[in-house]
Amino acid sequence: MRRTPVNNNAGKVWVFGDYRNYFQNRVTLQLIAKGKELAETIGTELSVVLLGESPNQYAMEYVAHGADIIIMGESRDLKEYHVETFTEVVSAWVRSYKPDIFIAGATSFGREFFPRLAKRLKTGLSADCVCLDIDPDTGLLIQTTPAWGGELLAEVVTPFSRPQMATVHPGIFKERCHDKSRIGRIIYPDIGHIPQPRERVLRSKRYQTRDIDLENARVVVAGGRGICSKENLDHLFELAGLLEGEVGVTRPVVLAGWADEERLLGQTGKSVKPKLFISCGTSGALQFTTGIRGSETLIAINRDPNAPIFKIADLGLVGDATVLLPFILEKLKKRL
Amino acid sequence: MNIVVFIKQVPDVPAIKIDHQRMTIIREGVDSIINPLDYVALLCAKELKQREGGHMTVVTMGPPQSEEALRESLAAGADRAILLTDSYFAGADTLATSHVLASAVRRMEQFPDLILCGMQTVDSDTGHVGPQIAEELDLPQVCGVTEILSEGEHLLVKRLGDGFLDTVKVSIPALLTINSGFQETEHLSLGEVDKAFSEKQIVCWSRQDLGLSRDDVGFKGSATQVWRLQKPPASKKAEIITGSPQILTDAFVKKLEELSLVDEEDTGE
Amino acid sequence: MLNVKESRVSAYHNYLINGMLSPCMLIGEQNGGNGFYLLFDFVSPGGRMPLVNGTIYGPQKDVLARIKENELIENPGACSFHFIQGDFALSAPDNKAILVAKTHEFTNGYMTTINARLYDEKGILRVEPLGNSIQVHGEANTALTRSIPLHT
Repeated sequence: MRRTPVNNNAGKVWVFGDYRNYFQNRVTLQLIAKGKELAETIGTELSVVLLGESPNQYAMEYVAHGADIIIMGESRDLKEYHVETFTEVVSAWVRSYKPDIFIAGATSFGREFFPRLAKRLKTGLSADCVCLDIDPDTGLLIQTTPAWGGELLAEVVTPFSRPQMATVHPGIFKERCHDKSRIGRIIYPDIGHIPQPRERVLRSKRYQTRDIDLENARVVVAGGRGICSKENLDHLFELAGLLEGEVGVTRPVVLAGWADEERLLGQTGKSVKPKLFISCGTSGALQFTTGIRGSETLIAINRDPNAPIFKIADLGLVGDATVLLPFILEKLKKRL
Repeated sequence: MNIVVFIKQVPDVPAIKIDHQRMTIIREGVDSIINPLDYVALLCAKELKQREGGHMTVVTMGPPQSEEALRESLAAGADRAILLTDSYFAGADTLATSHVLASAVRRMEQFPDLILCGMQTVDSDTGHVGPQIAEELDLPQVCGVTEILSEGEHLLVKRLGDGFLDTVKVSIPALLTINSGFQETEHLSLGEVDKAFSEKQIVCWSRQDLGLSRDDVGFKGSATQVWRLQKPPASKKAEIITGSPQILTDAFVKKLEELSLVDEEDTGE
Repeated sequence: MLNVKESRVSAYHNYLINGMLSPCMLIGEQNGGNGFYLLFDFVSPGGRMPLVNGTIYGPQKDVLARIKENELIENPGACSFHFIQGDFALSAPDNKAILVAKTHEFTNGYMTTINARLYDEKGILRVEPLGNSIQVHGEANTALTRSIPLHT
């Protein structure tokens, strides 16, 4: 077959196509939408890097949701996600095509793959960005990330090395609708040598008890550091029970051993979108709020009138949650 | 088993106050602690050492006061502690930090079988340093480990990620980042702490001890820079209520009524 | 420089050709009268699929069949043929498969895999199986050099 002249343009804004747990996990689609905006601003196209055994379905999904170019690596050796393998293949492509910007969802895999890739490429990477913008004066990608446990936001730039890399938490950006009529380019660069992985998953178990479904709960009652004890956590369970909701927690509670990781909310935990979110004794640090911004109504209870959570709450009650909860429970039990 | 644990001394982050005028953090009066997940990594290493026998070295990169964190680690069971300190190390992002930490490992007489660190820190929270050390030392990595079992030339670990609990087999030497799941909360006896202060020595290595160029460490060796700090945006106008528990409870229940989660109160009560 | 293959990809429906996704492919001339001609036409959302068209030759330079939009319009080779639900099969009298296309349904789209052994009017092998795709020899226009859709 005659080889048509190849356009060496592979786009300058790249998104890593993480398709595990797709259709539920939609972070790649969200990044495609944001990536397209960035690409349009700097006058280039948006590409999605896709590795797998035959990820044809995902190539089509990504194009439907806005990708201009798919950069596809197909091999039986790419069937499973391995950090070292993906780093080897993708770094070679980055060196060849030299994208300007490369972003990935901050899934567990993204959070351990992207730093390794950034180190291989000797470039800068910021984590869990909540904003990505092109600075009009310098053309640099401004990567806005939480700092100091989310108390402040830091605007980070990668002035010299390329690509400018960033990971983004699911739920920050909005995906574009599925458009059946879209047509994109697809390129299949050489994969090169795929190293044998030095780690292997032997067994995998879905880590969610069937009866805890935080992500779809209508009411979420959350406890943070201010809850102080496992006994007080029981009050939260009682409140959640009365309202037919679920209990979520922040990391200090998990670290103290009062609740399991599967109840963890926020940046490295679950994202929720309830009708009502009740926060008891959580300060509102950004890593936590990134997981709860889908909530329709937020009631916050905190001792500290300056707690950041009050800035995003609809109703703020200044008080000690451990003292207040028994009052609330008593009143509700009479009413329900 | 020869284990190296990387720890970081961090401020007790929830206690930090922000100077909103100058957009900086107020460090005065805020305690320094070992990053919680690094401490879990320490306890994990200690348990492994007790099970398998071996040697545990704890390493940190930081200003001289990071020595406190190393003393605490020695008291928690480390055999040796190394402080990587140098004015040129300041202002490092994860790229530069991982370079210094990896260089410390290369300087050791014996390459470790296992390198552990916490999955992320409470101050910067990126979780990047572990994977970047693994990349520089060409080690396999497993992140978010909650349990370690051993198996000769390989390790069997459990790790949590993306909604799955995986059992992973990884060859040694390897780097693991530790997630909480280890339920250990140990308390040290005073005797152990005293012993740490009197007996064990902390070794200090500078930039020159590690043979590193000024351009590869600290601010100069970093690829990212912080341009500016800003306040998180306040997106809603909250109705803030202060008062007695009764007043707060009433406001709470009223909101639930508005959302039709409880029925409105009968007026004839 | 990396070696690279390139194609186009449609959000709705693609064929697998030369190991790549492709919305359509044409060998030969569409209304060229004699001569080998094969068109896997572009499928629009909601349209029938796949869309197979062609003048099929045997290895002995004889015309076996003419197909237009999945229908057998001439059958000098006495081939057997069926087209059901996105699956198309043309076989020689001895039951050997000549051209088989199977359409797979994804959640939001479709992909057609093709298995074929086709010769042109000079008896040269132009299409042969390659895994679950086909390898095309000689001149062909994929969506890269022709604007799509080709079908009017």
